[in-house]
Amino acid sequence: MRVSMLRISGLPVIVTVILLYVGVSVRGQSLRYANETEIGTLWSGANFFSPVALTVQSFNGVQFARVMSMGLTVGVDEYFGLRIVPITLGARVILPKKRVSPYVGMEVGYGFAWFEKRTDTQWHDGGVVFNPSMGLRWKAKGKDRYLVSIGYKRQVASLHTANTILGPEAYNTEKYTLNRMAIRFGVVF
Amino acid sequence: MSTSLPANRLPKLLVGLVLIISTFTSCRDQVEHTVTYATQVPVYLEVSAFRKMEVGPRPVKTISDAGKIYVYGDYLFINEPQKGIHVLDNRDPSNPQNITYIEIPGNVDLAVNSNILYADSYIDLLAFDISDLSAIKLVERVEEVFPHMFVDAERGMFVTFKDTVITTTSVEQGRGWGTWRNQEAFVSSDAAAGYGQGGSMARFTLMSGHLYAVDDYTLRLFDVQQACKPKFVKDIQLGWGIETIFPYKEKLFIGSMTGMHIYDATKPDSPIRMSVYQHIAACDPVVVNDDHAFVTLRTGNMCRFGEDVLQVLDIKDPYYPKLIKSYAMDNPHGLGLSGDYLYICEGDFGLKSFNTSNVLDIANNQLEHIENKRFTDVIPAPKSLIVTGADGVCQYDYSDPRKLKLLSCINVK
Repeated sequence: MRVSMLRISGLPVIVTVILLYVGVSVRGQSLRYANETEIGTLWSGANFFSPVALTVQSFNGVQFARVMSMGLTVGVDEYFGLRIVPITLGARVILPKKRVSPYVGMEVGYGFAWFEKRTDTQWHDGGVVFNPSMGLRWKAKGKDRYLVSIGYKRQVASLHTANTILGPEAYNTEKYTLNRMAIRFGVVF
Repeated sequence: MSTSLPANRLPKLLVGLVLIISTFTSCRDQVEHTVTYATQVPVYLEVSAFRKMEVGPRPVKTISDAGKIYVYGDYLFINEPQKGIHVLDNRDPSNPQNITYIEIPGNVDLAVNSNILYADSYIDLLAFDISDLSAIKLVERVEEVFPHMFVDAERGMFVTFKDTVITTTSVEQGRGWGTWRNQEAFVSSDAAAGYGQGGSMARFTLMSGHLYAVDDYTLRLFDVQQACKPKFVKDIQLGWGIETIFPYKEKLFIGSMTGMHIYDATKPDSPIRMSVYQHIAACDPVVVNDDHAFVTLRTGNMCRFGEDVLQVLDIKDPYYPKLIKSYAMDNPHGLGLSGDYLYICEGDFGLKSFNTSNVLDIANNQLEHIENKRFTDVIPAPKSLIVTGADGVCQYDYSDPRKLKLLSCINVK
């Protein structure tokens, strides 16, 4: 887990730079709080755990004009056999239209296996999560209200098990790379 | 026609559908199985190549692994397994000074007699003159006296074992739609092939002008009455699983995985078996005094049917050793006896000290338990109690046996 954490440590720096850049470029324009709460499913054609996993996530951030929002996303992904808490930095770029606006989104971060039981002989580690998506958002009562999206979610997680046959310091590691298609429905505040 | 799809939107929809379906089917979970374990791998060496390896004194270097230890006068010798021997000035046990290093390929054991250091080097026995530590000299090489390592004596090939950590990895794809697998089913049992705990270690001791070395099956005898000219005398077959050798008053006590052998060595060049005390398979170093032998049995990789106990045997009649009592221990390894005080290394569980004046009640006479260190062997030396293990070599002041006082620790790695 330590290695994976290091691997993503450059990310906050990049995001800060982007935020500063956007902050400068939209200076004078309105900044407002943005929240998107989504539920959905994660599908795999060839799977470990369940072929259909459930996902919920909440994006909280700031929106610049109507074209871009950035923030932090916290969620829970239930793979049925593995439950992951992904904490990611997220960004959305919206192409504003009258009623239905297409948009693209990106989430990058780390999924934690906090819900999994840890013992001396068996424990889970989370891993890097990466989730690009595209979708549409609907206007209702004068502002964007609903969204649907389709995306790709890649989550890495490991299971370590002590191998008593091979000795006291032996263990098995199963490093899962879960490649899933994400279909989500959400509400925008 | 208002209910049907506009003709120009149909291709877009189809493309969209194909994209979605192909994305979905190409989303496949993957798992990478990795098995990591510590083991020993065989290393094949040619005699001709091994004899060309450098042997002899080298500048001081840091101790990266501590094997056997040996005390000679004010000096402490620490073997670095398979590599050589560190020599430390131990006049002040609270501040031992690393003074030199002797490079000896394949060395695991050592003994010193009249300023001559005996050390094994794979299949050979080497003798070094250490009377001047600033000019250590190799004075004798007795060739091919540990032939148990040979795999092909004619071609001059022998095998040794090297500790290593092995990692094997295999990648598996998800098994198609609908295979819903629980992670518990995933503990793989592949890569169980290992080379086992092979390897053999000679164990050295000196008594009555003779050097006794034991390996897995054999007691090898060297005449060292002329210290710088060790002469191989003979082999005595002992049976399998020989572990340790302890000399006491012209007797040799040999610990094996199946029991304790007692040899009468009044005639040092032809020891005679007096008795074998049999027990269930377990690893067992042994120490003795006039009346009693203290044997530790432990469970471990090579001793899987064992139990973790200290056994006290009555050896007043060495032809008929009798078990007096057995005491439960954590994971006892080496032990040392100083008067009535017994020190037992408990592996990962530290070091324990006992008063053994009443051998029937040792459990209730535990004096101390030092828990925060890993210890495997102990020497009650004149100035200090020297304890070695995975973490390094520590010395304790044991002038008050009830209260050990830490003097120094040489940490490894």
